[in-house]
Amino acid sequence: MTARRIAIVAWIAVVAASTLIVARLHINTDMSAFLPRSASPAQKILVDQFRDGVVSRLVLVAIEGVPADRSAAISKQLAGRLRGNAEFVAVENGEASGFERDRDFLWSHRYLLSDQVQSDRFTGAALHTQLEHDLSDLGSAAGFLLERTLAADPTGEMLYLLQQQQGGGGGGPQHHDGVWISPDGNRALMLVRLRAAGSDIDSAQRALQTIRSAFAQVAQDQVAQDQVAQNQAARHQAVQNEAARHRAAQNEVAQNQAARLVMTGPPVFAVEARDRIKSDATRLSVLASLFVATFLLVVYRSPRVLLLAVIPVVSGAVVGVAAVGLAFRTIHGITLGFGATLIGEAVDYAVYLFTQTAPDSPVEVTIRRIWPTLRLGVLTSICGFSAMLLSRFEGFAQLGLFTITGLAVAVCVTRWVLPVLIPAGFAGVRQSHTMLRIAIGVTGLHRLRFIVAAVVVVAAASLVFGKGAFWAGDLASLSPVPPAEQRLDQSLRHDMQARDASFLVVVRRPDQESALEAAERLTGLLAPVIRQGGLAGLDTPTRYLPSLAAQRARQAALPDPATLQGELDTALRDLPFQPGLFAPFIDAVGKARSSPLIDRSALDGTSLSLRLDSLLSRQRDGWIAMLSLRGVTAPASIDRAIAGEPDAVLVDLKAESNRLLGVYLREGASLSGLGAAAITVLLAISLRSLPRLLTVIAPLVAAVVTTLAVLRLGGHALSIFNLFGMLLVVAIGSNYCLFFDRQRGDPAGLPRVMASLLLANVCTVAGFGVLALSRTPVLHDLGAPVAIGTLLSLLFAAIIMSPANRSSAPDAVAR
Amino acid sequence: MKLLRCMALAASLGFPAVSAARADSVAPVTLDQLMASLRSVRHVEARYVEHRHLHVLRTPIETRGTLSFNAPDHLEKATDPAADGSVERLAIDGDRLTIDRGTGGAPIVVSLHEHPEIGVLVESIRATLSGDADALRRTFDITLSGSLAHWQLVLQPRDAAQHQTLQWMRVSGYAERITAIDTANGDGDRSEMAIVEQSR
Repeated sequence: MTARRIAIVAWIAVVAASTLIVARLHINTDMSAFLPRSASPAQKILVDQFRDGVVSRLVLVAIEGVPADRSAAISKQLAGRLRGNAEFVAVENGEASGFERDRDFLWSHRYLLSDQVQSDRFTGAALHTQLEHDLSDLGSAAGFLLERTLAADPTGEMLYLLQQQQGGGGGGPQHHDGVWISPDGNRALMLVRLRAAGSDIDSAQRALQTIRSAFAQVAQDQVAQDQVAQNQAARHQAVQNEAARHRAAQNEVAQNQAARLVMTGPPVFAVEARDRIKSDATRLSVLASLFVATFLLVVYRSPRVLLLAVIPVVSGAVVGVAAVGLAFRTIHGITLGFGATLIGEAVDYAVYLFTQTAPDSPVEVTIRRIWPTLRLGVLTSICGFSAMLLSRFEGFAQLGLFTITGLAVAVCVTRWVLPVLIPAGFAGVRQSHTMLRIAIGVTGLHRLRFIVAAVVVVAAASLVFGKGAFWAGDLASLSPVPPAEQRLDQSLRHDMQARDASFLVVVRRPDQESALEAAERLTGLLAPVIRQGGLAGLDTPTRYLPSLAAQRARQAALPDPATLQGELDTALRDLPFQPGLFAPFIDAVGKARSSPLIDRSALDGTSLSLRLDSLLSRQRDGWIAMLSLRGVTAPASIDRAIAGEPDAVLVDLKAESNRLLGVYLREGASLSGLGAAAITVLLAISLRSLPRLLTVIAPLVAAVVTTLAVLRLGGHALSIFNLFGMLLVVAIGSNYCLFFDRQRGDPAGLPRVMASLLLANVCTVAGFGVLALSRTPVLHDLGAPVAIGTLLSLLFAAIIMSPANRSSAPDAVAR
Repeated sequence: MKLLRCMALAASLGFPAVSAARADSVAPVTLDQLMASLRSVRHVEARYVEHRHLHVLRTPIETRGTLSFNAPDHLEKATDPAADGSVERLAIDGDRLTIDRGTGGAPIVVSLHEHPEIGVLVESIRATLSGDADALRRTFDITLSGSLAHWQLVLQPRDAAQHQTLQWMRVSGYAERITAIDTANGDGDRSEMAIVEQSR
């Protein structure tokens, strides 16, 4: 078997095996692959919560576009339809029904829930003080709150619990007709919690669809009701002409305004991101392929050449996907979206081969001639992309592996398979003279060196002295959620008056009970900080579910009925309460002494269970209890206070997420630096000459600096994805410089080389340029800089590296 | 109490609006007339004395203070400073009832929709003050007696379930001025409030 046969057989075998792997591969669109994977335990908790915690299952629903009365009515009907559906754990829209259950729960367990219950609370003296206090409260305007419960709860445990709820959860949204409404009255608001975990996108999609169709039905019913009302109005018209006509007109106005359903929240983002990625990946790949194919067809005017040019690309893509599948078990939709960029780069190899094949020489000769350069170019690209393999963003690691494998396969196919497939008679392709003329023109640009120098100096100065933050300063810039959706989310959260917790005390324990006990000890440790004003207040899971130990201690602190009656009689002396009034109190305390303890299931159906779940959650290896702090003014004294509880951590969410961002920016910077250094070392080894090395690197540095300056125009902050984009610019741009470098000794061949580089660059710019059209920030932030940067690399390489003497140029056209 | 009523009467004699309306003063007043007249008041401040007889107590509780109303739906009631100097403020703003005990604690905020039982009480006062006849008719059985010169409006919630909070409310006054608000609830609590207008 000849070497050529071996090449063909190996190629077919590898592509066939890869196709088998690809066919079985699961495509994953969970955006968390592009979320930072974090190191410290506190950060891990943070990201886990974000990924799979209660928060990740919350959907904020708004009904807008109609007057408040109408949106409130729709909210009630919609909630009615959704409640009881197994897809939802909770549907809250401010209606009192949920709160009645909350109050029932608090009322019936008040002596086990209240941390005021201690043995000295029920002595004659303590009760006397309490009753005097009650008396003054009764005289207050708020007396009505107390009067109904006074007889059964003279020590005010219920009021205390209610006040704690209010303090912990914020004022909450405003009401209209009994449901939540935005402050401007334009949106009725609803909070829906899905049963499915945040990572289960299929279930989330079904649940969201349920909400949408329920809304559509409710809106339809409303229209039908309007028609009935209108008909009634018409009937009245005979009697009350004017008024009825007016009302009918109003009804018509109301009907013409259609209610809109708006949803936001992590499940919505996840579903939309997946849809967007799917459509982006397909759309962008098709778009890039079409563009590149059309372009090559126009230039080469030969469908056969086009077909041949596509072979390395398709082989590279299939094997690349298979490699990712083998290494990561799944492939991310975003990685597939990068197929578009691979087309942009891998098609270059065939382009170099065809364009640089002169009509009078066989392909074999050309490939042998350009192979050293091609090989070095691919190696530098691989060096650059391999830095991405080390990234802690799994998505980037996948992209790195996909691109490296794809490029290596594409270049090997170009080297060993294409020459075999090309028929014997094939001797170069017809050159486009326009192309060559442009190429000659470009090579004459060397006079513009000083302009390049000036541009680079200006760009560097604008980077150094530019206004605005250099790096995007918060974690939101890494978010896979497009800015418009982020704004909507913020606006709805603002309407809900959700108080964003920014400080948490977090503690992890092996089981639920010890986590709750730790939370209770922490609450105790923080009480002095609250008294000293270092902290306004806190919300703790034990407010809803005290530890069994605390509940038992409270039961033990309750006196028996006879004792309590005695103490009460002492307390009531010379107070104006009606005799016998407090019998229900004696009874309630007696019952609480032997009542069953509260467990998690007692909270089912209350809105308090939501709060409990957000503060107490099960993790793979234990239970996490969180105390949500508000009004923190002295973080240092909080840190000192919680030092008494082992492993308790104070998490400043804002600072922590910014620190996290810092870690990723540093990682991005060092990986990009590493990639650039690897490329430089590789070039130095192959070129073996400092001046040559500097000439090859100069256009790249100039292109990177200028591209960064362009991206920073208008004070735009750079994201970490822009940074990786720069790495790609260096990886691809170095190929151009190497071809220029190779032509040093052969200025006559330069226009032909230049033509091939121009073609290759157009394909690259097309591939990455379509990424810039993507609505997914990751793809968008990578696409734009690479498109700009590679174009600049070529331009600068042409200007800096083309020889000053262009006398041989017309000669080249003649060839 | 008697003294306050006398003062009210004295104040009214010098008031031109009343003398202009004297021609109608003997004719029975209609709800729409009364409401129109109450609606003309956009802002008013008044002193009050309130006696509350609570069923849980053997003796009544007396409080004094200031009322102020701004159309359409802002009402504030502030007690005179207590022995410790604290002033309790109750404010109704549309759908929200806020009670600040003036003792440094966080104010109590009640959404009337979450507590419909309080809503009926607030609505009776709010609708009367703003002269909203439709709102009153929706919620209450209304008995109006007397002339515009001296009228008495008795409101009883149509929904018997709300009698627990408010069995009846009796508002008395002359022309657009309210001089007394008496209420009773289903628990057997009664409240009598005498009001003297200060300024508007």
